[in-house]
Amino acid sequence: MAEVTGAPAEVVPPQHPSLPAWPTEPPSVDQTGTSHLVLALGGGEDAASTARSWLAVAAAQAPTTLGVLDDVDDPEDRATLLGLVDRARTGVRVLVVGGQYDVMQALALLRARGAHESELRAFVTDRRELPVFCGHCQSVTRAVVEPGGEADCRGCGRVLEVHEHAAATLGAFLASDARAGAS
Amino acid sequence: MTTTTEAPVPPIAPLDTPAVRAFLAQPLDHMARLPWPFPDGYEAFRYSVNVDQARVPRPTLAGEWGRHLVDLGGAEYPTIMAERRAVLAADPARVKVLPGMELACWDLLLYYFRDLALSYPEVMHLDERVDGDADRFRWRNDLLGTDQEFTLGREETLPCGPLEMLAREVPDDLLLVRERDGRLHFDAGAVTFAAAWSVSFDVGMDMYEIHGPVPRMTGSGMTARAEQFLLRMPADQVFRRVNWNVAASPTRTYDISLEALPAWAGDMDAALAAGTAIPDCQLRIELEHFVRLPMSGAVTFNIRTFMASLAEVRRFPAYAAQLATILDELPEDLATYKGFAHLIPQMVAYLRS
Amino acid sequence: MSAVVSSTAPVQRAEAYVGHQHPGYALGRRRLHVVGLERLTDRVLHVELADPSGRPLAAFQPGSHLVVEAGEGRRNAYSLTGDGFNPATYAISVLRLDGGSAWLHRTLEVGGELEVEGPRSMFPAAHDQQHALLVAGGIGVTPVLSHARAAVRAGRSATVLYSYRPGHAAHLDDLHELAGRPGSRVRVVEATDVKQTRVSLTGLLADQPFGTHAYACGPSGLLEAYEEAAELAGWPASRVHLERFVAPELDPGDPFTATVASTGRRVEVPSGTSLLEGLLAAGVPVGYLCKQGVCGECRLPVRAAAALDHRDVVLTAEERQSGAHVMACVSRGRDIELDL
Repeated sequence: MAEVTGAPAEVVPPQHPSLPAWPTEPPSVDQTGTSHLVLALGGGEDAASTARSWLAVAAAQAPTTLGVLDDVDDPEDRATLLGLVDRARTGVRVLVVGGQYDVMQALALLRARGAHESELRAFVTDRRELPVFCGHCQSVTRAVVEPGGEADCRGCGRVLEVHEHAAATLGAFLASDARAGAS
Repeated sequence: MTTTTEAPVPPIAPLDTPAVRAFLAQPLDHMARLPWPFPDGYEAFRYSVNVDQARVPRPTLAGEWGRHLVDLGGAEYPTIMAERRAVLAADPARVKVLPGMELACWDLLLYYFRDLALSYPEVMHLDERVDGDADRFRWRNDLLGTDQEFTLGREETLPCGPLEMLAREVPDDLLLVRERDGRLHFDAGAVTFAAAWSVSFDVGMDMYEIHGPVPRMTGSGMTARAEQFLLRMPADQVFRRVNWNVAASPTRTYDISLEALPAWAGDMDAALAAGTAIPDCQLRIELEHFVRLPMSGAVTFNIRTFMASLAEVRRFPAYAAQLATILDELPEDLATYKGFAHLIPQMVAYLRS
Repeated sequence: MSAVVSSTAPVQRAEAYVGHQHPGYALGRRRLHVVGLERLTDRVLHVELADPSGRPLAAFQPGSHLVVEAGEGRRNAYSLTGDGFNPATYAISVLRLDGGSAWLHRTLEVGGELEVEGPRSMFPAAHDQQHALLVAGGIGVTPVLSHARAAVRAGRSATVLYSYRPGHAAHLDDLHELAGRPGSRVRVVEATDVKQTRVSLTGLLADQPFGTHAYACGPSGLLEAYEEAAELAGWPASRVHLERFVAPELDPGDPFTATVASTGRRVEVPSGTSLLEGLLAAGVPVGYLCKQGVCGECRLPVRAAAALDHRDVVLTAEERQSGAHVMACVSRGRDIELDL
């Protein structure tokens, strides 16, 4: 370690919080893929139009499957998604579009099925809803909230403070009892 | 993701042997075993990859630390393990094992049992090749009254998963990391004494995600260096690192995890109101051990938590002065992250009085 | 305010530093007993080794290799064929070429001894694999067999492609035995010429479940075909693993001279010795911690050097270019003048 004495001001390295980094434009289709799976989530028109333009490019290059899911939390929709993943072959590239909640949860599911980051591309059409992970009861709540805000946990009913800290494996933001310690 | 199922808490029932009696009769002195985290002359804390070879005893002004891989905690061992077992029984989600990490958990269990039996031969025993079967073992821990036979790799031969089995026997929080998709991931853990974090949330994270909330870590290149170290760590050596904090609760509660936040979040304000907070503030030391496990290639990031109150630290004027200097110098972003920024003036004044 | 000031003296360590306490984790050079020899083909000898006093052997990850003494100072690396789980013996299969392998074929006998080192893992299985595609060419079947056995033990699935010349199919029976076990999720595909191998590679790489990892070991021609086919099939590099026959040894480096500027003291650093060890042996105090090129503790200022070979992960690209510092525990060079 270099010895520095009388140095003027310490340079403070930047912080790198763990947050999803969404692109501002829909990412391009990865042309190295030998098949594609396009997932449009949530039924919004923005998601549908992004999915359509991906589909046009992807299908021209390699076999492409389109999955349209209204609700990633719905057991039937979830089973459909898992069925699509089960039929996919290594070499596939997955493109996911929808609201932030749906995209984060779908990506988590794909990662649990062994997806690598280089196989996934995603675009978030709106950030209104966040997946909120309760640190006390471990349930994930779909909430209209931003990091720093509060949400009610659907599992234990606590009022949760949502932290600026997200986990890719869970596809959710960390939250903890906003009233803890208050007497 | 799998969560171990709830199992009955095995009671702690020390055997009545001379060795057990002698072990439990050791004087209780929190400073004597505390890994003092600051080298002589060290006056300004910044995060660093301060790794060092393990199993080398280190004398301090108050005693010694680091002789063994596992510090049982002397006479306090049964108390710590009772707290550990109660947390595991109440909240099975403190044990998380991602798919593919099952073998690593056995690897860890066997490594630790073998090491413990050699470190504490008078009170801990591992019989190998039971009935001539190389995979059959018998573990006895006289200090807790454990007597368990098991077959390596066969979960049905244990009352719980191998990771939880070990967590019930040692005071260390158990974390396993392995390379996946080019990065090191925290893919299995049994963690009851986390300092304001949650194993359920963190399991599956890579090093960059885990250290996101820590100021300066990733920006200074420290996360990358720590990851490189663990990725390249040789299989024939064991390493350790010391980290420190002032606990958010001015009590000797080990479980100040995020899960348990509602239970401890009011402790500091209550103690401040009562005027007892500052002397009771706990210097909380984390001694991390890194072992590359041979069968799975997983690396341990096990964390043993030690605590001593500022009142106990103050018995050693040189340490009190050094801690005061370091607290006083600590930049605001680091103090805010560590959670005690608002208490620093009072802590410094107390340590210097 | 000053930045971090590290003024600690070098930490003194016990000479008899022990990494692992239990003999079941010993990886250093040691002598094992030859407890079994079996001729698998006219050129492949299968060798089984055990600890002479019956102590447990270090477990290993599938795909690991053992370094063995091979006569006249030679040391060869051979893949272990077992799954690595709490092994009672180590087993390797030695193809007779010349030099070391011929010495082993000629010299080994049951009851004799062999000096080994390791196991070392350089070809491990990914723990997130949903399925394994295992590709073996010739004697490259040895680590593939290890991977297949580990998959079976873990209850996981694997597809094995074994490319061999008829009459030279070591371990083919072992692979069939694995595939034939009740409930086995292992499938074996065989190819006996180059064209068949290429067709099978292309076909298999196009049709593996999502989340598969592929592993290949064999002659360079096969490995090139494998990498090419995997890329064409759209496999990300993170899923494509291979092992060349000869595992690279840790490069001991060339000997060089370091000079301490203040005293003019010259320290000769031999091959296989680090600059740090050389300086410490010469009584030059240097602080250090990790000895892995990671912690940054042994950073030394360089006044001049004919060449610097940075092997650490501490210095930035700019710092390396400037040549102002060197990490003594791992980096080397030529005629280094240290500003000490």
